[in-house]
Amino acid sequence: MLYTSEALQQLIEEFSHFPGIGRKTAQRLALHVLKLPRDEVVQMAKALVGVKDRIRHCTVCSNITEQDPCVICASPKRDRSLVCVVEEPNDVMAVEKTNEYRGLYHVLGGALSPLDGIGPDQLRVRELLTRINSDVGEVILAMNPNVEGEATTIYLSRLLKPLGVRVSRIARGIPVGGDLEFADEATLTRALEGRIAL
Amino acid sequence: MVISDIMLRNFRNHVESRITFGEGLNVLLGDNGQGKTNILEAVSYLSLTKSFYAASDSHAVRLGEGIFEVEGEMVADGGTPSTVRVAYQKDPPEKTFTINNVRPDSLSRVIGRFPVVILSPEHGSITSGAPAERRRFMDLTLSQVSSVYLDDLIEYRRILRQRNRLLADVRAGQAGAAAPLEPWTMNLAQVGGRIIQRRSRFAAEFSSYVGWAYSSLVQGDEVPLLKYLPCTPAGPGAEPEEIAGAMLQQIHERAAEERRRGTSLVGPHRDELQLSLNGTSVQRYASQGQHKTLLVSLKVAEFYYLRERRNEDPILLLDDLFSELDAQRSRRILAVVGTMGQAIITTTEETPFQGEVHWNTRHRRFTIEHGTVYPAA
Ligand SMILES: Nc1ncnc2c1ncn2[C@@H]1O[C@H](COP(=O)(O)OP(=O)(O)OP(=O)(O)O)[C@@H](O)[C@H]1O
Ligand SMILES: [Mg+2]
Ligand SMILES: [Zn+2]
Repeated sequence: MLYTSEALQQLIEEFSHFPGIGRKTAQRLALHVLKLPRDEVVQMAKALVGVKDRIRHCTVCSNITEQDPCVICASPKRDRSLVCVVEEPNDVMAVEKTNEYRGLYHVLGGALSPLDGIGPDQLRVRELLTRINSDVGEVILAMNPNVEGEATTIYLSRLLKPLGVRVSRIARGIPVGGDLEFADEATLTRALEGRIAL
Repeated sequence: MVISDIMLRNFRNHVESRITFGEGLNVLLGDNGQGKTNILEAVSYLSLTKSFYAASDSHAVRLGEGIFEVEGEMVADGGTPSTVRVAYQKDPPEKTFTINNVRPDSLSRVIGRFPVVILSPEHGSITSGAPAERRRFMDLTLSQVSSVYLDDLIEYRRILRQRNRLLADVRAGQAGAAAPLEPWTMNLAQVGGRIIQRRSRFAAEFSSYVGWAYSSLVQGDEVPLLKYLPCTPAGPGAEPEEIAGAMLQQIHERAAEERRRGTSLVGPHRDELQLSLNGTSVQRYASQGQHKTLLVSLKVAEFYYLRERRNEDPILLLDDLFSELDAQRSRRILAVVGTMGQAIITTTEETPFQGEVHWNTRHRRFTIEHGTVYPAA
């Protein structure tokens, strides 16, 4: 259906670019925005621009942050001998929610996937390797439990082991095909406890 | 398992068809192109979440329509009913699958829950075609027995696609010299080893089912034999890790060839399931009738194999059951099928049933004409 307003049409277009949002939902969201008071809409627009302007990547762990280094990297309470490698920032949040892990992180920015044109150069692999020094005793590989995560785990463990650091991976307690982000906290905790040396 | 009712709406040439099946033989009678096979395809959607031949979902939507719906009542052997519903919308493409109004976690978890055995002219190539057809037969049978196997299969296909893309990139000079092939190789061998082990065990067990089924269909001393020939020879008792090790070694031996050809040359995607009758290759030497009889034997065997492992009778979907068979063999096959479970049979000819089957509430007949179902007179 074509709306008479070009502005509305454009907003629908923008919403439909969001992941999981189809044409119909985009229409519903746009009509909802139309009904909101102007202040609320301004607030929302500011929030949208805010995430782009204020958030950047931590120069140490590559997690998204407003301050650099991020609160985790800067915290004196964290165990600096442990580095947990994850694919995306939301995986950091998933592990943090368990309240069990006290070490640092490294966000790779994805996993190896030739079909998507992603090789080691498209990931923050070099940055990870430069972080490995005498302070780091163990690297935990916590990739998503799918074939891309598995290949990345194998790849990284082969690079890391010659550096003399202990390398482990989280146990596959997470249902196959499931993403780390969706694993419940109990499963993740068990997976972290049951990590396997590589 | 039986299917007691089905409804097809805007599915292929059916505008809206409803059928109440009997628990025994259900015959769908009609001339060519009337919509008989389409009904079997609809049952396949309920059981396997997709068409039994490689057709895309959008082709099943009736021409000029936007959505098809299929709904069926499945009754387990223990008596528990489930309402299964599939709807597919063309634009934007969306498939909804529910069991008792609940969406399953994933479609792959549905496979095996409502077991089916399908015989179709499209499957004729199991005995006569390329090895891929026989691998598909093995995979579908095993997937209905083990969701672990199905998960491995899905994973393996993904690894293979990733690895083949990388090899193709390497060949085209598009991947750096540092392109890490090794992780994908190890991944491939690990999952491949599990698949080969499962298939080896399957072939060893399944061969005797086929022998028994074949001898119940034909008198004589022809003995069929199945032999699994994996890319890496492994003893019947080999562990998945051993097989994976053998696979790795072969991949390393053929590394240069793989890079030159830009594709994976070692793994269960290259395996063969050899069929023979009295020691001669079926694929090369069997007559059309022998092919068909062997195909029916494979399906009868599949029925009993699934029944014993799932404790549930599969639903038999038999498309064009009697084509290529003489009257005597048709009667024999009908007698064997009659002792199994629920069967839905399509045919253009009623002759094989005449005098053999008494139509009642258990055994039913329907006529299909231009996508409309009538109780046969
Ligand atoms: N998407 C569709 N929309 C409308 N009609 C369709 C669609 N797909 C297939 N058909 C029609 O369905 C008919 C084929 O149905 P089906 O394959 O079930 O026939 P059949 O009764 O099994 O015939 P045969 O005895 O030749 O195997 C054809 O007439 C074809 O044109
Ligand atoms: Mg047909
Ligand atoms: Zn940081």
